[in-house]
Amino acid sequence: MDENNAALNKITEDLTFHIRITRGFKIWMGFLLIGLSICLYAYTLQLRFGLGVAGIRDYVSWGMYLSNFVFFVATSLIGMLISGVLGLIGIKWITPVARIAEIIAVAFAAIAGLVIIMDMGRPDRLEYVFIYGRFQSPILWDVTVVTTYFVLSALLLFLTLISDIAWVHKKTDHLPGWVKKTYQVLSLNWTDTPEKNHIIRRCVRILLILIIPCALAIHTVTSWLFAMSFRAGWDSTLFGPYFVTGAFVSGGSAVIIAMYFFQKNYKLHNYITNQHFNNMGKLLVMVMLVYLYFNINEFLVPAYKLKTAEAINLHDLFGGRFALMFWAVQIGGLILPIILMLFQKMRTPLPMLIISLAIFIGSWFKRYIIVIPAQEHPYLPIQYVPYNFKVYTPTLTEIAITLSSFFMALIIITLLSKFFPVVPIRETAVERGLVEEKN
Amino acid sequence: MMKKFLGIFFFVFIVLRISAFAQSAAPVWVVPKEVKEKVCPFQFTPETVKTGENVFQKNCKSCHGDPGKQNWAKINPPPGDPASVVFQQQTDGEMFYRVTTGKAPMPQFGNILSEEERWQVISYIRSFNANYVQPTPIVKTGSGSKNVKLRMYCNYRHKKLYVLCKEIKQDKSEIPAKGIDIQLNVKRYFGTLTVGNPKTTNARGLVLFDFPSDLPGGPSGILEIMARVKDETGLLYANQVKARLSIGKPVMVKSLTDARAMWSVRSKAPVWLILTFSLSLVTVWGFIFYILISLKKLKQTI
Repeated sequence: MDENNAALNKITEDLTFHIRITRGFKIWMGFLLIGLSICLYAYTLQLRFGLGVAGIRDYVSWGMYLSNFVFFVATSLIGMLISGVLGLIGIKWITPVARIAEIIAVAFAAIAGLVIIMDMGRPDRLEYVFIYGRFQSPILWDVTVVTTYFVLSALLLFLTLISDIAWVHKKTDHLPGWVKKTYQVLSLNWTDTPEKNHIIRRCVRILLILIIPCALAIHTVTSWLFAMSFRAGWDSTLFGPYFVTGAFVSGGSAVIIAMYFFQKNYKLHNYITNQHFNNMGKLLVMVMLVYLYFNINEFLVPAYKLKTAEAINLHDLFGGRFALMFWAVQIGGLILPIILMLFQKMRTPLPMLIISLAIFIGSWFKRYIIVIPAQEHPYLPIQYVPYNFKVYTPTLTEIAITLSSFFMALIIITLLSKFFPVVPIRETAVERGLVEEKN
Repeated sequence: MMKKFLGIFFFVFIVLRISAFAQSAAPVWVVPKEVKEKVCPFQFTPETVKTGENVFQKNCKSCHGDPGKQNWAKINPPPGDPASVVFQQQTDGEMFYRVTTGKAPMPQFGNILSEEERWQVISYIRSFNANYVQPTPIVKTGSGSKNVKLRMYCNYRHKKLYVLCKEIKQDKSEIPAKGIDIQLNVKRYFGTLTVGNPKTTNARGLVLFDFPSDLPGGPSGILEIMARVKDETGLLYANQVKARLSIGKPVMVKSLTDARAMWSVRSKAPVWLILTFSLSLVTVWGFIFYILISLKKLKQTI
């Protein structure tokens, strides 16, 4: 029994070890906040002078903001894949990864909503989207489903945290009083009783089931923002599944990057092990193969027929202005990583970090490739407009505003992972037979 | 052998290039010779120029722009400026022919503008040419030159129209005009429609027209009908009578936005869509509220 307690104490110590304010944390947060302030200054410029400070014009009206939005929505989908799908199937190894995936889901879903506001010329009229939104418009579906998915993800993260918060509350006497007080409020008076555990388990189960259709909906609807319009390059019945599988690719790589940093900085080597990197690598290869399959369909089918308008767009992608980006994304961000990750040696932490970074960056540019070239090639010819209407070039202000979304997401991830256990304490203890799950 | 082939190939290539050049470069719009010499039946006056300008603004400006300003629409082939030398070196007859018959993308105005209006447009265009001297008007005399008065009667039940034609003598007395050709026209959105062939008045000055029963009118079937005296020149309809008669087929045009549709406003969204959206929303948020209530319960249970 004493042995048991000692082991339990060790786990709690290990998993709450990072919950302290260190110098490294201050420097990192300082960097993020300074970066965010600079980017927010760029946003005030946009508020003052209008959307014209960005490179978007009449034809390419969505530009970098919308491709960034798609990227954020996509990345947030990983919470559903790992907690929802794998969790419901009952796959055990995901325990230390699931919360990381949920933190990423919450952060990226929250910022996705903000990214849309960045693209609005009059953000003060945001409520009009709801007041005057048409049931027929994918835009109304999108704002509805993004909000819902964010609430579901936040609830799921919170519910699985409750028992851990109660434990953290007991173990963190070194933190300021108000932080402890916050923990106490958030723990909702949790004690290890069958009734309380039952309520939590039931709610988590409902959420895990709800989150799957909702996550599918959020990204399918996002793809419909494109596929429901008449435009060469977007006019595809494949767009829903194409976007959803692409989402798992960017989200999966984000989780691996986060896993690497948490393992190293929070000293979690005994919990996030090489085996987890290995498993995540295999999972990533699987979703990437599906995504590759959709890519082949998405490009080969229209490229075989080369309908007039499609041909202009595809020529620009395959051998024109976007060729370098297109092939870099498809080869460097998709094909090469798949091949590399087939080797077990590559599925170890450092190689996985490097490969995941390539996939993550590639995923961002993939959205750029989906959004911008199609807008530069409308069905009716672009005539009698200045050059910068025909060819989209993002401005520095626009890039800064886009970067602000990454700073904000990183701040959310940093704060959540700093003040809450990244690896579930109670679940780990239950899995190791140290705590009995009372029913 | 090879050389010969190359030679033939080269020759064919040259021929093809030349023919392609000829096609693209020479705007072949042949005007029949007898039409070239046609002249306007009336004298151009500041009044005809003014009316012509009106007609030009409504019908020609969208492509040709303002004469003398070279601001024609950017389409291919370019419509050109009516004040330019290329236009002004044509005879009145040539201009008249081109306006009347059109040649894609130039529309055919023969059915849209009356002859009088077409000549008025030409008088307007000529006003930009200081060197222009109008050829002496040739007015052909025919039945149209007679001073006649028309009246129209309608038998709605049998869809018959009677046109009574009376000649006004110099002493202002009226006698039935025999042997006058009457043409029936109906005003449509774009130009006038000729209904049947012209008919000649009988000894009582009467003609009877069987009006088609299937000509679409507005919601109440009202058509604007014109009976005109047609003279040999087919030129001026000085003598005409107009009437708005409810003799057409009533047509109720159903607007595309009347019914519930994807492209309509929110209040006209398809019912299935409103239901799907609302039900999904209520279901998911119902569960979310259930979970929030559970959390409250979690806090309260000991």
